[in-house]
Amino acid sequence: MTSASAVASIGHDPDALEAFYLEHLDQVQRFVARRVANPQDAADLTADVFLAAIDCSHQYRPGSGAPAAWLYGIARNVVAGHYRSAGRAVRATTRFRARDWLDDGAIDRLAARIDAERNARALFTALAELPEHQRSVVELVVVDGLGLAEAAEVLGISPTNARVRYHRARKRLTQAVPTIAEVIS
Amino acid sequence: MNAELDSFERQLLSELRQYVADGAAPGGESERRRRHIVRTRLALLTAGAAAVIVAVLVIPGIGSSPAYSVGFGNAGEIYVEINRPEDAEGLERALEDHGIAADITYLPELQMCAPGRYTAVDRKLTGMMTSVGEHQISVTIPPNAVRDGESFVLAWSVLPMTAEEMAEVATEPGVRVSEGFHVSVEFDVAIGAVAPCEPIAGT
Repeated sequence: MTSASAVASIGHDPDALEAFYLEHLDQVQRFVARRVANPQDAADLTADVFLAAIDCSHQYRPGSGAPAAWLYGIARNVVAGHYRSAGRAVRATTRFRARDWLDDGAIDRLAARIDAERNARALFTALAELPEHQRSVVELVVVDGLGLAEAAEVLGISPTNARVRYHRARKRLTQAVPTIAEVIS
Repeated sequence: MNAELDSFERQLLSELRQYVADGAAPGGESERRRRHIVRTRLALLTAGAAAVIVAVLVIPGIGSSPAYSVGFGNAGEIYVEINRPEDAEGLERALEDHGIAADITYLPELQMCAPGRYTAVDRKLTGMMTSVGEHQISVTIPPNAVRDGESFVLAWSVLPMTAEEMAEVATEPGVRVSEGFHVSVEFDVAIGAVAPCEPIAGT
């Protein structure tokens, strides 16, 4: 598991970067696949998340959260930036055109991953009716499968706050989501 | 482990390794070589403040570091470091890449933007801070501080210190002065459109 000091190294140590990448690639790819339906966008966003992590690694403070939680926070902002750009019909130029590296096999594998996450994507879309502070908690718990404590860590809020937001969100949603007891269990 | 990656995943890893090896990341070796060690006085403002800071900024020579950098913190907050008042549009694009709509204005001679060009959001912006120091301006934008339909607004103006002012500061212990500036910073979160800045004389 990546240590805090290892996270700080990924911006200047290629071997540390590789270890971090191998440990968290699946996490990032699944996160992205739950939010975009297009293999090309998924490829670009996966690259963007790791680039953002590298660029921010020198600012990582171990006391503020585990590496995985830190990475979730970065991924959330990168995907939010994608949707914001798409809504304005402007796709910011990414430093890596990762979609250009997709061969047929990689496209098929990405498409299969995206297809496997279709239920999660549907739920992600259904959560749009929630206010942002509630949606962010439910999204991490129900779409990404984090526990409440872990979701709290990603968002930088207390576990109690996360539990309250989750409970209120469930009362508003027309689509069923697990109870807190079910999430905890 | 490498053998389990598909062609795209291997290519991405290779490109990322090269990116790191090239020292392109902020804080990377190539940036550390360019950085100078300086002593400054720090000024801390809370969000929504429009303030004129008379600060001694002992800064690296122009061109010795990127004009700005933008990155994420542990909990999704965004850190902005502005080293020089250059390329405001580039910084706006970089913030856009990080999910933040922004209006950045750099002005000469301690000018400010005339008031009334935007409507500030009516809520407390807990955790949003700016500081003036080694990197000239650092801004922390907490998660969800700038929402859909809102923009982070920053107007920054500098005025070089006179030789007399620098000589006065140089007598203070622990301060090595290569250049000095007066700084005016205004930042806030606006809802809706932000009108172009109309420069006026600073206070």
